[in-house]
Amino acid sequence: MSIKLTGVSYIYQPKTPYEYQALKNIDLEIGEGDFIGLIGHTGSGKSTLIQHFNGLLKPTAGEVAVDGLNIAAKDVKLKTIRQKVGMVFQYPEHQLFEETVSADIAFGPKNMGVPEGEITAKVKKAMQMVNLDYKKYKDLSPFGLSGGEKRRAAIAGVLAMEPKYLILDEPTAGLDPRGREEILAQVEKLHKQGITVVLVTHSMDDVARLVNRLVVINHGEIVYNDAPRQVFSQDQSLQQIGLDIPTVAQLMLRLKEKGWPVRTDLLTIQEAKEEILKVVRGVGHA
Amino acid sequence: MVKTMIVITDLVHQYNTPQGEIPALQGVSLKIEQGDFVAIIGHNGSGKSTLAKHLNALLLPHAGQVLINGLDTSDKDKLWQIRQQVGMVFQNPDNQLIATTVEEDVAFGPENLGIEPAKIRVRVDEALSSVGMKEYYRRAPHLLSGGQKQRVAIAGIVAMRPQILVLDEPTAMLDPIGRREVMDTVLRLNREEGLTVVHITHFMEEAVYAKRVIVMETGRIVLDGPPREVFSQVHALQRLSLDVPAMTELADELSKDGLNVSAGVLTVEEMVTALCP
Repeated sequence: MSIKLTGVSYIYQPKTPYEYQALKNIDLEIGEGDFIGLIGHTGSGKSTLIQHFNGLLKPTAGEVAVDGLNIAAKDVKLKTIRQKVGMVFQYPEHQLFEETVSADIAFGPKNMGVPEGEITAKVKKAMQMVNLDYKKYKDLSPFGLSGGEKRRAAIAGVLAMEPKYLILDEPTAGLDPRGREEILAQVEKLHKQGITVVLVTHSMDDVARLVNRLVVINHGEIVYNDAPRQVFSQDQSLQQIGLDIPTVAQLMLRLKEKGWPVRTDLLTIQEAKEEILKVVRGVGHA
Repeated sequence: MVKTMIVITDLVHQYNTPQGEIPALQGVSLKIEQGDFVAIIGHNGSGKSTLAKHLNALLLPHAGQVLINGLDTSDKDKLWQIRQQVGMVFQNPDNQLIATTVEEDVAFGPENLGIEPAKIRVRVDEALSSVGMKEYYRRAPHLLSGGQKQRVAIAGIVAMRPQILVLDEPTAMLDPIGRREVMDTVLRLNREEGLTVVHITHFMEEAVYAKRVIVMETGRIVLDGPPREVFSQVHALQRLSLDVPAMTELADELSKDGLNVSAGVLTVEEMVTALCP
């Protein structure tokens, strides 16, 4: 089971002077259990792409299938698709609106037609998943929470619909380091619990650490679709399209240029440390 | 002799909320000199933004004193003089742009100051050039990228010819390219025009470029010094769960294993130099 895009193109305002092709012939499969990082700078087509995952946009050409269901087919209900594919937009806390945290989180399942008796259990479970204590938070106003808590409450609102796939569009934007760490730890936990995750982000250091596959998009086309190590070890091409690579990867590439016999597919400080010590102490030279 | 632009003495501020009084600043004392570039880092709730709002009298001290270029912010008669000297840029670019074209937006400040039209023209052109946005002067602000919007917001302030520029997380909502654009602009204004800059940020890689870094926690200043000195205190920063620049952390790790790498390494280039002398 997967989200599968075949030959997907998307054109905004076709047949007008403003016609703009945002996606060009995209082939992409997001398999169950994947943790995918999606990167590309503003205007690259990232947001257009993710809106195809749950049928907010339908392809101008090509096909999008969620668990084998074609999102454009007449007999496929978008409700079914949107229950499977949960979407957390940028600044999701702007969409909080209810008087209490629990009412806000209950809104999604209610709309999906979940019977009244089962809703509380779903709300409790969703709050637990984002580490918001049910008793402590359920009756609080969502607007009195801290930035990080608000965002977690908003994510819980999506999780309450029990999606199989979770798409997060820059979930850490605008948060302080502690808030960022909290959200990423939650996302990592959700993935471990079996949810397929697509993380749209600008932070190369975060994707390097978390995801198993990195999809890089530029001018509406996929330019890389590989493990982060493989993608980041090819410095120049990423920088040419205006993207950074993680600091550690930068260092290893620079050391290699200086003639050090080091690997360039390293991502963490610990890995870099071991590699540098190996070279300095002459191990591996023999 | 260098002029001291900002003198803060034992500043106290608290917010009244339904849950009671929350202390936001608990006795902050600070001097900032003309031409300095000060980065303030710390978590949400550490008091950074409250401090920033005291610099142009958006907030007034509950105890202590704030002097801007010798003017006391508590003195109501000096309010406009202070606001003219201290320009502020906030997080969300969309909340700061008001006019239908870029040049009108930048002209808004000087118009309000009652400057004659011919001089406004000169100021707008100069301000837009100084942020690298001159060719966009006829554009509609809402069609610009985030980084461009923030540069226009900065130009609007530069056109008022302030002495001090206070930026409260101006890059938080921008992508990496926008962030770089804004940082380059602010650094240039500081270096070339001699503007005193107070830059509040969550991004350590921005703080690295400041001349001085101040770390705040629970309404107090806990660390204060040049970036090299502040960031070399890896453990103190980690205890506050603040990020340490990756290269500084690596330098710390390497020196634990007996490698002779200075704790003051901040960037990839410095690390390369340290390893390949």
